[in-house]
Amino acid sequence: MAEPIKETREKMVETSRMPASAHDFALRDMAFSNGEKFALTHTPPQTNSCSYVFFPGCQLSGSAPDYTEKAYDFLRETFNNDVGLMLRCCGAPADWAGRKDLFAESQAEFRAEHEKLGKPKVILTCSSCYQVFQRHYPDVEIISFWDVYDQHGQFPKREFAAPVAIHDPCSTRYESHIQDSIRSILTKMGGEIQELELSREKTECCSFGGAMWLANKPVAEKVVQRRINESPLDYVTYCAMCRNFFARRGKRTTHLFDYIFGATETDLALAPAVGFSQNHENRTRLKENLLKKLWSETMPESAAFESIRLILPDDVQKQVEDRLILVEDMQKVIEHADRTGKRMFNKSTQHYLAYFKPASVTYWVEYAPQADGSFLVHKAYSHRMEIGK
Amino acid sequence: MTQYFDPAKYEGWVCADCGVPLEMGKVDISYLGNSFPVNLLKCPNCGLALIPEELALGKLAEVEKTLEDK
Repeated sequence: MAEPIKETREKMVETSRMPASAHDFALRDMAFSNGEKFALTHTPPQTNSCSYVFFPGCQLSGSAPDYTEKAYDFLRETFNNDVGLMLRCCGAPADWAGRKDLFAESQAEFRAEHEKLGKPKVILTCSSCYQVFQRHYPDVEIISFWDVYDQHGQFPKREFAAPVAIHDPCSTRYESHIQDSIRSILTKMGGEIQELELSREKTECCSFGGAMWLANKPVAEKVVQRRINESPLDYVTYCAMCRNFFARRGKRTTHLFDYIFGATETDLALAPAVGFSQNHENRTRLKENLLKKLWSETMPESAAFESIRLILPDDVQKQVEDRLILVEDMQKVIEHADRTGKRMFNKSTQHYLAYFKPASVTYWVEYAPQADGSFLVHKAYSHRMEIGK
Repeated sequence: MTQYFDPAKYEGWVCADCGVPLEMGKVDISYLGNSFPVNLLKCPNCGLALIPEELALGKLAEVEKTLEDK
Protein backbone atom coordinates (compact mmCIF):
# COMPACT_ATOMS: atom_id res chain seq x y z
CA MET A 1 0.00 0.00 0.00
CA ALA A 2 2.82 2.38 0.83
CA GLU A 3 3.92 2.83 -2.78
CA PRO A 4 0.52 3.81 -4.33
CA ILE A 5 -0.05 6.21 -1.42
CA LYS A 6 3.38 7.77 -1.95
CA GLU A 7 2.74 8.13 -5.69
CA THR A 8 -0.61 9.80 -4.96
CA ARG A 9 1.11 12.16 -2.55
CA GLU A 10 3.72 13.04 -5.17
CA LYS A 11 0.95 13.83 -7.65
CA MET A 12 -0.82 15.99 -5.05
CA VAL A 13 2.42 17.92 -4.46
CA GLU A 14 2.95 18.37 -8.21
CA THR A 15 -0.58 19.73 -8.64
CA SER A 16 -0.36 21.93 -5.49
CA ARG A 17 -3.11 19.96 -3.77
CA MET A 18 -1.04 18.60 -0.88
CA PRO A 19 -1.59 20.62 2.33
CA ALA A 20 1.76 22.00 3.44
CA SER A 21 0.92 21.49 7.10
CA ALA A 22 1.05 17.68 6.84
CA HIS A 23 4.83 17.38 6.52
CA ASP A 24 6.10 20.88 7.22
CA PHE A 25 7.58 20.12 10.65
CA ALA A 26 9.56 17.14 9.34
CA LEU A 27 10.78 19.10 6.31
CA ARG A 28 12.00 21.93 8.53
CA ASP A 29 13.75 19.35 10.70
CA MET A 30 15.48 18.06 7.58
CA ALA A 31 16.50 21.60 6.62
CA PHE A 32 17.98 22.02 10.11
CA SER A 33 19.95 18.77 9.74
CA ASN A 34 21.32 19.75 6.38
CA GLY A 35 22.21 23.26 7.55
CA GLU A 36 25.36 24.49 9.25
CA LYS A 37 24.14 23.59 12.77
CA PHE A 38 24.50 19.87 12.07
CA ALA A 39 25.75 19.04 8.59
CA LEU A 40 29.37 17.95 8.54
CA THR A 41 31.58 15.90 6.24
CA HIS A 42 35.04 14.96 7.39
CA THR A 43 37.78 12.48 6.61
CA PRO A 44 39.05 10.64 9.72
CA PRO A 45 41.31 12.57 12.12
CA GLN A 46 44.90 12.93 10.81
CA THR A 47 44.15 11.53 7.35
CA ASN A 48 42.82 12.84 4.05
CA SER A 49 41.05 9.79 2.71
CA CYS A 50 38.82 6.97 3.89
CA SER A 51 37.40 3.65 2.70
CA TYR A 52 34.33 4.00 4.95
CA VAL A 53 32.16 6.84 6.17
CA PHE A 54 29.89 6.68 9.22
CA PHE A 55 26.43 8.15 8.57
CA PRO A 56 24.61 7.99 11.93
CA GLY A 57 21.54 9.92 10.71
CA CYS A 58 19.86 12.89 12.32
CA GLN A 59 17.50 11.16 14.75
CA LEU A 60 20.08 8.97 16.48
CA SER A 61 22.44 11.96 16.69
CA GLY A 62 19.69 14.07 18.25
CA SER A 63 18.37 11.38 20.59
CA ALA A 64 21.66 9.85 21.70
CA PRO A 65 24.66 12.06 20.81
CA ASP A 66 26.88 10.26 23.35
CA TYR A 67 26.18 6.87 21.76
CA THR A 68 26.77 8.35 18.32
CA GLU A 69 30.23 9.50 19.41
CA LYS A 70 30.97 6.09 20.93
CA ALA A 71 29.76 4.31 17.80
CA TYR A 72 32.13 6.44 15.70
CA ASP A 73 35.01 5.66 18.11
CA PHE A 74 34.20 1.95 17.81
CA LEU A 75 34.22 2.09 14.00
CA ARG A 76 37.54 3.96 13.84
CA GLU A 77 39.08 1.40 16.20
CA THR A 78 37.64 -1.49 14.18
CA PHE A 79 38.76 -0.19 10.78
CA ASN A 80 42.14 1.31 11.75
CA ASN A 81 40.90 4.90 11.64
CA ASP A 82 39.80 4.43 8.02
CA VAL A 83 36.28 5.83 8.69
CA GLY A 84 35.18 9.37 7.88
CA LEU A 85 32.08 11.04 9.27
CA MET A 86 29.03 12.49 7.59
CA LEU A 87 26.40 14.22 9.71
CA ARG A 88 23.25 15.15 7.82
CA CYS A 89 19.72 13.95 7.00
CA CYS A 90 19.31 11.15 4.46
CA GLY A 91 16.34 12.93 2.85
CA ALA A 92 13.64 10.56 4.13
CA PRO A 93 11.26 13.40 5.17
CA ALA A 94 11.29 14.82 1.63
CA ASP A 95 10.84 11.37 0.12
CA TRP A 96 7.90 10.62 2.42
CA ALA A 97 6.34 14.04 1.79
CA GLY A 98 6.41 13.50 -1.97
CA ARG A 99 8.72 16.50 -2.31
CA LYS A 100 10.83 15.32 -5.24
CA ASP A 101 12.40 18.78 -5.52
CA LEU A 102 13.71 18.78 -1.94
CA PHE A 103 14.78 15.15 -2.17
CA ALA A 104 16.76 15.86 -5.35
CA GLU A 105 18.45 18.79 -3.62
CA SER A 106 19.37 16.62 -0.64
CA GLN A 107 20.62 13.88 -2.96
CA ALA A 108 22.82 16.30 -4.92
CA GLU A 109 24.34 17.60 -1.67
CA PHE A 110 25.03 14.06 -0.41
CA ARG A 111 26.61 13.02 -3.72
CA ALA A 112 28.90 16.05 -3.77
CA GLU A 113 30.06 15.39 -0.20
CA HIS A 114 30.42 11.64 -0.78
CA GLU A 115 32.51 12.30 -3.87
CA LYS A 116 34.78 14.66 -1.91
CA LEU A 117 35.55 11.77 0.44
CA GLY A 118 36.40 9.50 -2.49
CA LYS A 119 33.10 7.58 -2.53
CA PRO A 120 33.69 5.44 0.58
CA LYS A 121 31.34 2.66 1.75
CA VAL A 122 28.59 4.13 3.92
CA ILE A 123 27.98 2.63 7.39
CA LEU A 124 24.40 3.20 8.59
CA THR A 125 22.75 2.75 11.98
CA CYS A 126 19.28 4.10 11.17
CA SER A 127 16.70 1.90 9.45
CA SER A 128 15.08 4.82 7.60
CA CYS A 129 18.47 5.92 6.24
CA TYR A 130 19.13 2.30 5.20
CA GLN A 131 15.88 2.20 3.24
CA VAL A 132 16.57 5.54 1.56
CA PHE A 133 20.10 4.52 0.54
CA GLN A 134 18.96 1.17 -0.73
CA ARG A 135 16.22 2.67 -2.89
CA HIS A 136 17.80 5.87 -4.10
CA TYR A 137 21.57 5.24 -4.15
CA PRO A 138 21.98 1.86 -5.85
CA ASP A 139 25.54 2.77 -6.80
CA VAL A 140 26.62 3.53 -3.21
CA GLU A 141 27.87 0.59 -1.16
CA ILE A 142 26.10 0.48 2.22
CA ILE A 143 26.81 -1.53 5.35
CA SER A 144 24.67 -1.84 8.45
CA PHE A 145 26.42 -0.79 11.66
CA TRP A 146 24.69 -3.74 13.34
CA ASP A 147 26.32 -6.24 10.98
CA VAL A 148 29.71 -4.65 11.72
CA TYR A 149 29.12 -4.73 15.47
CA ASP A 150 27.97 -8.34 15.40
CA GLN A 151 31.27 -9.26 13.71
CA HIS A 152 33.67 -7.01 15.62
CA GLY A 153 31.90 -5.88 18.82
CA GLN A 154 32.90 -6.40 22.45
CA PHE A 155 29.49 -7.57 23.75
CA PRO A 156 29.60 -6.38 27.37
CA LYS A 157 27.60 -8.76 29.57
CA ARG A 158 24.46 -7.02 30.85
CA GLU A 159 21.97 -7.90 33.55
CA PHE A 160 18.56 -8.83 32.13
CA ALA A 161 15.90 -9.26 34.79
CA ALA A 162 13.48 -10.82 32.30
CA PRO A 163 13.23 -11.71 28.62
CA VAL A 164 12.92 -8.78 26.24
CA ALA A 165 10.88 -8.36 23.06
CA ILE A 166 12.52 -6.96 19.94
CA HIS A 167 10.68 -4.33 17.95
CA ASP A 168 12.05 -4.34 14.38
CA PRO A 169 11.76 -0.93 12.68
CA CYS A 170 9.45 -1.22 9.68
CA SER A 171 11.82 0.44 7.22
CA THR A 172 14.16 -2.56 7.38
CA ARG A 173 11.41 -5.18 7.59
CA TYR A 174 12.95 -7.14 4.70
CA GLU A 175 16.59 -6.87 5.89
CA SER A 176 16.87 -10.25 7.59
CA HIS A 177 20.66 -9.87 7.92
CA ILE A 178 20.18 -6.78 10.14
CA GLN A 179 17.44 -8.51 12.16
CA ASP A 180 19.73 -11.54 12.65
CA SER A 181 22.62 -9.32 13.78
CA ILE A 182 20.41 -7.57 16.35
CA ARG A 183 19.30 -10.88 17.82
CA SER A 184 22.84 -12.21 17.79
CA ILE A 185 24.24 -9.11 19.56
CA LEU A 186 21.56 -9.16 22.22
CA THR A 187 22.03 -12.89 22.84
CA LYS A 188 25.81 -12.49 23.14
CA MET A 189 25.23 -9.83 25.81
CA GLY A 190 23.10 -12.23 27.85
CA GLY A 191 19.62 -11.22 26.71
CA GLU A 192 16.81 -13.71 26.37
CA ILE A 193 14.56 -12.82 23.45
CA GLN A 194 10.86 -13.42 23.18
CA GLU A 195 9.63 -12.64 19.67
CA LEU A 196 6.59 -10.45 19.19
CA GLU A 197 3.85 -12.01 17.11
CA LEU A 198 4.44 -9.31 14.51
CA SER A 199 8.18 -9.12 14.04
CA ARG A 200 10.76 -9.12 11.22
CA GLU A 201 8.95 -8.77 7.85
CA LYS A 202 5.59 -8.54 9.63
CA THR A 203 6.67 -5.81 12.04
CA GLU A 204 4.53 -2.72 12.64
CA CYS A 205 5.25 0.98 12.21
CA CYS A 206 5.89 3.24 15.25
CA SER A 207 4.15 6.10 13.34
CA PHE A 208 7.37 7.90 12.36
CA GLY A 209 7.53 6.30 8.91
CA GLY A 210 5.80 8.34 6.24
CA ALA A 211 5.44 11.09 8.90
CA MET A 212 2.09 9.61 9.97
CA TRP A 213 2.53 11.18 13.42
CA LEU A 214 2.39 14.61 11.78
CA ALA A 215 -0.11 14.00 8.98
CA ASN A 216 -2.71 12.15 11.07
CA LYS A 217 -2.07 12.32 14.81
CA PRO A 218 -5.18 10.40 16.02
CA VAL A 219 -4.39 7.41 13.76
CA ALA A 220 -0.72 7.57 14.74
CA GLU A 221 -1.59 7.42 18.44
CA LYS A 222 -3.72 4.33 17.89
CA VAL A 223 -0.94 2.66 15.89
CA VAL A 224 1.63 3.28 18.65
CA GLN A 225 -0.74 2.13 21.39
CA ARG A 226 -1.60 -1.06 19.52
CA ARG A 227 2.08 -1.84 19.06
CA ILE A 228 3.05 -1.25 22.69
CA ASN A 229 0.10 -3.34 23.90
CA GLU A 230 1.43 -6.37 22.05
CA SER A 231 3.59 -7.52 24.96
CA PRO A 232 4.11 -6.54 28.60
CA LEU A 233 7.86 -7.24 28.22
CA ASP A 234 10.42 -4.46 27.83
CA TYR A 235 10.99 -3.68 24.16
CA VAL A 236 14.42 -3.40 22.58
CA THR A 237 14.66 -1.61 19.29
CA TYR A 238 17.40 -0.22 17.05
CA CYS A 239 15.71 2.92 15.77
CA ALA A 240 15.89 6.13 17.82
CA MET A 241 12.44 7.27 16.71
CA CYS A 242 10.73 3.96 17.53
CA ARG A 243 12.32 4.21 20.98
CA ASN A 244 11.15 7.82 21.43
CA PHE A 245 7.57 7.16 20.31
CA PHE A 246 7.17 4.17 22.63
CA ALA A 247 8.88 5.87 25.60
CA ARG A 248 6.71 8.96 25.11
CA ARG A 249 3.66 6.78 25.77
CA GLY A 250 5.22 5.17 28.83
CA LYS A 251 6.34 1.85 27.32
CA ARG A 252 9.60 0.57 28.82
CA THR A 253 11.84 0.53 25.76
CA THR A 254 15.57 0.57 25.20
CA HIS A 255 17.67 1.21 22.13
CA LEU A 256 20.22 -1.55 21.52
CA PHE A 257 22.92 1.11 22.01
CA ASP A 258 21.76 1.39 25.66
CA TYR A 259 23.14 -2.12 26.24
CA ILE A 260 26.27 -1.59 24.16
CA PHE A 261 27.32 1.88 25.36
CA GLY A 262 24.92 2.82 28.19
CA ALA A 263 25.58 3.18 31.92
CA THR A 264 25.19 -0.16 33.68
CA GLU A 265 23.76 1.27 36.91
CA THR A 266 20.81 3.04 35.25
CA ASP A 267 17.43 1.60 34.26
CA LEU A 268 17.63 2.90 30.70
CA ALA A 269 14.19 1.61 29.73
CA LEU A 270 12.80 4.39 31.92
CA ALA A 271 14.79 7.21 30.28
CA PRO A 272 12.37 9.87 29.01
CA ALA A 273 11.96 10.39 25.27
CA VAL A 274 14.11 13.21 23.91
CA GLY A 275 12.03 16.32 23.08
CA PHE A 276 12.13 18.03 19.70
CA SER A 277 14.07 21.11 20.85
CA GLN A 278 16.52 18.99 22.81
CA ASN A 279 16.98 16.83 19.72
CA HIS A 280 18.15 19.89 17.75
CA GLU A 281 20.34 21.07 20.60
CA ASN A 282 21.93 17.60 20.85
CA ARG A 283 22.71 17.51 17.13
CA THR A 284 24.44 20.87 17.32
CA ARG A 285 26.41 19.91 20.46
CA LEU A 286 27.45 16.64 18.81
CA LYS A 287 28.88 18.48 15.82
CA GLU A 288 30.56 21.03 18.08
CA ASN A 289 32.11 18.34 20.33
CA LEU A 290 33.37 16.21 17.47
CA LEU A 291 34.81 19.19 15.59
CA LYS A 292 36.70 20.25 18.72
CA LYS A 293 37.75 16.80 19.93
CA LEU A 294 38.78 15.18 16.66
CA TRP A 295 39.72 18.02 14.34
CA SER A 296 40.39 21.05 16.59
CA GLU A 297 37.85 23.08 14.63
CA THR A 298 35.06 25.39 15.79
CA MET A 299 31.42 25.90 14.86
CA PRO A 300 30.26 28.72 12.55
CA GLU A 301 29.08 31.88 14.36
CA SER A 302 25.66 31.86 16.03
CA ALA A 303 22.67 33.90 14.83
CA ALA A 304 21.41 36.76 17.04
CA PHE A 305 18.28 34.90 18.20
CA GLU A 306 20.37 32.04 19.65
CA SER A 307 21.58 34.27 22.49
CA ILE A 308 17.99 34.63 23.79
CA ARG A 309 17.83 32.56 26.99
CA LEU A 310 14.44 31.04 27.75
CA ILE A 311 13.00 29.66 30.98
CA LEU A 312 10.33 27.04 30.32
CA PRO A 313 8.36 25.78 33.33
CA ASP A 314 7.42 22.07 33.07
CA ASP A 315 3.83 22.71 31.96
CA VAL A 316 5.01 25.09 29.24
CA GLN A 317 7.70 22.63 28.17
CA LYS A 318 4.99 20.00 27.69
CA GLN A 319 2.70 22.47 25.94
CA VAL A 320 5.30 23.49 23.36
CA GLU A 321 6.32 19.86 22.71
CA ASP A 322 2.67 18.92 22.06
CA ARG A 323 2.28 21.95 19.80
CA LEU A 324 5.52 21.24 17.88
CA ILE A 325 6.99 24.61 18.82
CA LEU A 326 10.77 24.61 19.15
CA VAL A 327 12.95 26.72 21.42
CA GLU A 328 14.45 28.32 18.31
CA ASP A 329 10.94 29.35 17.13
CA MET A 330 10.30 31.12 20.45
CA GLN A 331 13.76 32.69 20.48
CA LYS A 332 13.07 34.16 17.04
CA VAL A 333 9.77 35.67 18.22
CA ILE A 334 11.38 37.38 21.22
CA GLU A 335 14.43 38.55 19.28
CA HIS A 336 12.19 40.03 16.58
CA ALA A 337 9.94 41.74 19.16
CA ASP A 338 12.93 43.19 21.01
CA ARG A 339 14.57 44.43 17.83
CA THR A 340 11.48 45.95 16.19
CA GLY A 341 9.47 46.96 19.29
CA LYS A 342 6.45 45.19 17.75
CA ARG A 343 4.87 43.54 20.77
CA MET A 344 1.98 43.97 23.17
CA PHE A 345 2.24 44.62 26.89
CA ASN A 346 -0.08 43.92 29.80
CA LYS A 347 0.51 46.25 32.76
CA SER A 348 -1.28 44.11 35.32
CA THR A 349 0.64 40.91 34.55
CA GLN A 350 3.81 42.62 33.23
CA HIS A 351 3.74 40.09 30.36
CA TYR A 352 4.65 40.77 26.76
CA LEU A 353 2.91 39.07 23.83
CA ALA A 354 4.53 38.98 20.40
CA TYR A 355 4.44 37.05 17.16
CA PHE A 356 6.78 36.28 14.29
CA LYS A 357 6.45 34.28 11.11
CA PRO A 358 9.89 32.91 10.14
CA ALA A 359 8.50 30.83 7.24
CA SER A 360 5.00 29.40 6.87
CA VAL A 361 3.86 29.28 10.51
CA THR A 362 3.18 32.28 12.78
CA TYR A 363 4.40 31.71 16.33
CA TRP A 364 3.10 33.61 19.36
CA VAL A 365 4.88 33.82 22.70
CA GLU A 366 3.65 35.36 25.95
CA TYR A 367 6.69 36.06 28.09
CA ALA A 368 8.20 38.13 30.88
CA PRO A 369 11.79 39.45 30.80
CA GLN A 370 13.76 38.48 33.92
CA ALA A 371 16.31 40.50 35.87
CA ASP A 372 19.16 38.25 34.70
CA GLY A 373 18.38 38.92 31.02
CA SER A 374 16.51 35.66 30.39
CA PHE A 375 12.82 35.36 29.41
CA LEU A 376 10.19 33.38 31.29
CA VAL A 377 7.76 31.85 28.78
CA HIS A 378 4.13 31.66 29.93
CA LYS A 379 2.63 30.19 26.78
CA ALA A 380 3.29 29.68 23.10
CA TYR A 381 0.97 28.81 20.25
CA SER A 382 0.89 28.99 16.48
CA HIS A 383 -1.32 29.22 13.41
CA ARG A 384 -0.92 29.17 9.65
CA MET A 385 -3.44 31.87 8.82
CA GLU A 386 -1.64 35.01 7.73
CA ILE A 387 -2.36 38.29 9.48
CA GLY A 388 -2.94 41.19 7.12
CA LYS A 389 -3.85 44.80 7.77
CA MET B 1 -14.65 36.13 15.44
CA THR B 2 -15.65 37.49 18.84
CA GLN B 3 -17.90 34.46 19.35
CA TYR B 4 -14.70 32.37 19.45
CA PHE B 5 -12.93 34.37 22.19
CA ASP B 6 -13.89 36.70 24.99
CA PRO B 7 -12.51 40.22 24.30
CA ALA B 8 -12.99 41.11 27.99
CA LYS B 9 -10.26 38.58 28.84
CA TYR B 10 -7.83 40.68 26.83
CA GLU B 11 -8.54 44.04 28.48
CA GLY B 12 -5.32 45.58 29.67
CA TRP B 13 -3.22 44.72 26.62
CA VAL B 14 -1.61 47.75 25.00
CA CYS B 15 0.56 48.13 21.93
CA ALA B 16 4.01 48.42 23.50
CA ASP B 17 5.38 50.39 20.57
CA CYS B 18 2.59 53.02 20.39
CA GLY B 19 1.59 52.92 24.07
CA VAL B 20 -2.15 52.80 23.32
CA PRO B 21 -4.76 50.19 24.36
CA LEU B 22 -5.88 47.65 21.78
CA GLU B 23 -9.37 48.15 20.33
CA MET B 24 -11.70 45.96 18.33
CA GLY B 25 -11.27 46.50 14.60
CA LYS B 26 -11.29 44.79 11.20
CA VAL B 27 -8.24 42.70 10.28
CA ASP B 28 -7.77 40.68 7.09
CA ILE B 29 -6.56 37.14 7.64
CA SER B 30 -5.78 34.80 4.77
CA TYR B 31 -4.78 31.23 3.96
CA LEU B 32 -4.18 29.37 0.71
CA GLY B 33 -5.42 32.31 -1.35
CA ASN B 34 -8.60 32.83 0.68
CA SER B 35 -8.96 36.09 2.58
CA PHE B 36 -11.45 36.98 5.34
CA PRO B 37 -12.11 40.24 7.19
CA VAL B 38 -12.49 39.48 10.93
CA ASN B 39 -12.98 41.50 14.11
CA LEU B 40 -9.94 41.35 16.37
CA LEU B 41 -8.20 43.45 18.98
CA LYS B 42 -5.66 45.68 17.28
CA CYS B 43 -3.64 48.81 17.82
CA PRO B 44 -5.67 51.76 16.47
CA ASN B 45 -2.42 53.49 15.58
CA CYS B 46 -0.09 50.94 13.88
CA GLY B 47 -2.58 48.08 13.28
CA LEU B 48 -0.66 45.42 15.31
CA ALA B 49 -3.30 42.70 15.83
CA LEU B 50 -3.72 40.18 18.64
CA ILE B 51 -4.75 36.63 17.77
CA PRO B 52 -5.84 35.02 21.06
CA GLU B 53 -4.63 31.50 21.88
CA GLU B 54 -8.17 30.05 21.96
CA LEU B 55 -8.91 31.51 18.53
CA ALA B 56 -5.64 30.24 17.00
CA LEU B 57 -6.10 26.72 18.36
CA GLY B 58 -9.86 26.68 17.83
CA LYS B 59 -11.63 28.31 14.94
CA LEU B 60 -8.51 29.27 12.96
CA ALA B 61 -7.15 25.71 13.10
CA GLU B 62 -10.56 24.45 11.98
CA VAL B 63 -10.71 26.86 9.02
CA GLU B 64 -7.11 26.01 8.05
CA LYS B 65 -7.99 22.31 7.98
CA THR B 66 -11.17 22.92 5.96
CA LEU B 67 -9.29 24.98 3.38
CA GLU B 68 -6.51 22.38 3.17
CA ASP B 69 -9.05 19.60 2.59
CA LYS B 70 -10.93 21.54 -0.09
